[in-house]
Amino acid sequence: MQPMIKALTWEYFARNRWMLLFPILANVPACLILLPLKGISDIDSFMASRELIAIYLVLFLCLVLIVGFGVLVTQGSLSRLYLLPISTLKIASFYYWTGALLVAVQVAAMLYLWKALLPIDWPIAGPVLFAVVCWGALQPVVRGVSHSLWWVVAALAIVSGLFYWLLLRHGIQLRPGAMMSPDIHYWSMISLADVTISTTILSISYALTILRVHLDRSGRRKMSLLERIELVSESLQTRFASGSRQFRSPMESIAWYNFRAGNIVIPMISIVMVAFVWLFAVIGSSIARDAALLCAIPFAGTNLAGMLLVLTTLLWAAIGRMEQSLSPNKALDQDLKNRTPLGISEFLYMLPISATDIARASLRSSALACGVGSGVLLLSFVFAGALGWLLGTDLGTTVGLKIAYWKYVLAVVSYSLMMSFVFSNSAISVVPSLLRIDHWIWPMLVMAVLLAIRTPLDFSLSAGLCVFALVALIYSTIRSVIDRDASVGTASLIWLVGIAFAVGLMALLRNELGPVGMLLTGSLVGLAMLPFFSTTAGLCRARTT
Amino acid sequence: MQIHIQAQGGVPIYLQVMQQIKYLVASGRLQPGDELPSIRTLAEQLIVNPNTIARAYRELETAGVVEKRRTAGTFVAEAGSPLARKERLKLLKQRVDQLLVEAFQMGFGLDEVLKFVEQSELNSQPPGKDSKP
Amino acid sequence: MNDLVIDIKNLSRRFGDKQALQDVTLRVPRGGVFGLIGSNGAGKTTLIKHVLGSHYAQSGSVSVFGFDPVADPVEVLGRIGYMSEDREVPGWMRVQEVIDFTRAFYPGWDSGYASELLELFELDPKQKTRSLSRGQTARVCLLLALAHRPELLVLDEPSSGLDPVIRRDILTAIVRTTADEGRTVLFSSHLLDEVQRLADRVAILNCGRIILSDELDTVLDSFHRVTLRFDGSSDLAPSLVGAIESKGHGHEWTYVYRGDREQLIRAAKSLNAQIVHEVPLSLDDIFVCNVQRS
Repeated sequence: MQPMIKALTWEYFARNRWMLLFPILANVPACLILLPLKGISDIDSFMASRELIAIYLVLFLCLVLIVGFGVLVTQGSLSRLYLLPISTLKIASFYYWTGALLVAVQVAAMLYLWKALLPIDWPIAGPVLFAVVCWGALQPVVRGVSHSLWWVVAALAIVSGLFYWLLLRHGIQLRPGAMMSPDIHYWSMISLADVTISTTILSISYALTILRVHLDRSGRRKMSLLERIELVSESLQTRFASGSRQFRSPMESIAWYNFRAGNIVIPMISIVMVAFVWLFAVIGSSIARDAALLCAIPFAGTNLAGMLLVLTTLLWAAIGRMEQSLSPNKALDQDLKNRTPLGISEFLYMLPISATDIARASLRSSALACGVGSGVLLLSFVFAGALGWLLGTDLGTTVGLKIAYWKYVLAVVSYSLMMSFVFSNSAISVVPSLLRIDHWIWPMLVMAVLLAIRTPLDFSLSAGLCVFALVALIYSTIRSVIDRDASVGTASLIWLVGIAFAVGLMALLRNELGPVGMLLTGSLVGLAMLPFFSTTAGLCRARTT
Repeated sequence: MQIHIQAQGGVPIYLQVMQQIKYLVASGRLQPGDELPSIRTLAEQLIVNPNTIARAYRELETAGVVEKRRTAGTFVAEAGSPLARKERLKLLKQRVDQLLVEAFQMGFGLDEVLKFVEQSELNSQPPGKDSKP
Repeated sequence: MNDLVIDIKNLSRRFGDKQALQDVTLRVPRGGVFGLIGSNGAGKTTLIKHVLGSHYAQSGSVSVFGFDPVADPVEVLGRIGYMSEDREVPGWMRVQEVIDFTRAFYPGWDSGYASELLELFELDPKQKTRSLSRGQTARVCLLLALAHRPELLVLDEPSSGLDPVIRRDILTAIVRTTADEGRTVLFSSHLLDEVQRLADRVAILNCGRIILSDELDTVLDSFHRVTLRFDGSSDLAPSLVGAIESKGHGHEWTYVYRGDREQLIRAAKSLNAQIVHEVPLSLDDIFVCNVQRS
């Protein structure tokens, strides 16, 4: 092996020692799901059942996704090699083939793991080949810097094509009525057609990858559509930028900072989604000449917006936390030294403001963001309901709700409010609590006892989570009262409001929520209260090391 | 007023400032009664600590080269002539010493140096204020 | 009023198994310029971060304006203007926004001075800070550190990686700040000619220890490079009391000598040696020979 390739290989493994274990961790849930299979006596007939194949397909696709994404992240950006004296061909090949090899090895290892743990006989060769082809086919899309919208379209087309292939090889046909045909089976044989398809896709994508990397390295890349939009909006903003801004207090200033630097995404998602949904509804209903669509589409769309709201806050928090640890150009120790939560730079900590005030301001800004975000959802729901009422239809029955419309709306809005609030504050207040082992002692005990007396798994797990939320909340409340971050009055007020909210929500949904739902609701309210008590302490920890 | 500071060498900066102002006075480029720049201005111009300039001015005042007037401001001393002459001689002596050392090292005798000095005197224009040794 | 702006006593700090600071005692009096010298990685930034309350004292104590900077960040940071080594500003803000944002934190913010500096530094208030050059970013940071007329200006490696024009801006700011009665500057640097120009007092930090801390003039006066001529020739440098470095051969030996001149003359006489050459040492030389020795 050439020394350069050797060095690169060494660098890759040295940098990602721990990240490479990630797929194993990610597979724990899959194993947990599959473990009850051990109890089934007639395993052979169950093996061939359509349900298990469906489960298998979902798990397998998740596995490919996790492994592929993991390898992509661990490899890091290609561009860091551009300034080394290596030919473009070598750079592209190194990333392409070592990645393919890693994907193959990891997928195969995980499939073997499943096989070893469980009494099932799933194929290895076909799925591994599929994973490698997936990796290869997406390389031209993900390599190179510009990610214009066309590449997203291309990626979607490629993924759909591959997915179709996968379904075909399992005997699933995309015809109405034939989706779950009886001749559904595992991909146990690699046919000549498979080999041909794989070789073709791999060689074409390999050539395209080299071309993309070559174009990118020589600086001949076009500005992507997103970049163009950003450029235009930038110049417009500069032209119309307001003069100077007056902040009345440091806290107001920090709240503005937090809002502009991150939280603004939360309401923006809601507003844009809801506006888009309503536009779509107007166009759709006028084309279809069906007035009922005018409120049915917004209803469905607002649900989707709520889900997106929660997902984006989660993603946003995860990105904020991982951003620095993933940037490949910084040395690790430098990284640890500079890491601050919320993506706040040293800049903010050098300002003469107490951690309590920063905490208040950041809670205020995230509460504002989540409030506006879910407020928009509420408005949209109410508007859709009112429109339905005006049109003489009950929206709840039209869309097939089993509960009263207003109840449903209240539930969706309050859950998305709480979840987005928890996630938007997770980096500094929730995650540090999650990482404390002493907070887990009681939940673990409760779970162990419940499992020992043969309580169902889902109930035990949610009971454990609820106990955890309670322990963390009580601990942080006591801490913040002792440290005088919160007065006893404020603390009791927050507790009162929180309990009232939880009780209200549970009473409202007493018929719909099972015991597990009640427990999860309780934990969510608890976690939503946590930031009020633990943010100051988290900031203090981050500020002084 | 042109002063150049060399921070790399070991000569303390206040000494450099003092010597250069003395030289400017001795050579006549600063006349009695001329006002020196304020401490702050000179410090900003030379990018040195104001305390350093203050010390240089203080020592120059003690030496009688400059004087502080009631209405804030440092001026080249009026009564500085006798002292200035002494200073001038001292400066000249330093330069002559240097010249002689170099001349001897290059193998010239005292006669040759003297002859050379006379010749330069004849060749040069009527001595201006800037006559350099 | 306490006339010590910074009072650090027996401060030690350890990161993992790296001893970053060891038993550091440092007193910075009010007024004047304090230069903190040290090689890269000597602990200058760590020391400064203690002053700013970004690190808590593992052992020993740190007091700034008589307050503990960790316990009282508002009181301490409100009186400090700080420019970090990385000169970081949030990239998504415009220059005017950074200024407006920062102003909210300092009651003593001088808007007139800020706009004067904005003009002097030729900064475009509408520009995003992300798109500024390194030098312009440094000027923004300098503006933010100066505009509230802080009692203590802390500059960590202020001129590293900057062109001479911007370095001049920064050094002029130091001169201006110290020219105002009672205001103090603490700056760290490894560009020793800057320190020699500007500092009243210096401290040399090496491997986490203070190896020298005194007034600059005293430091400069107490080191000499002398060449002695001995009667007898020798292969080893004859030992001279107070010498910290020796070089030479035969009859002539050159020493770096620490101590006052009278002592040197007496020591030379007792060795039957003649002082043939003597030059003062620059801060640069003093730094190098002290760091090499320890």
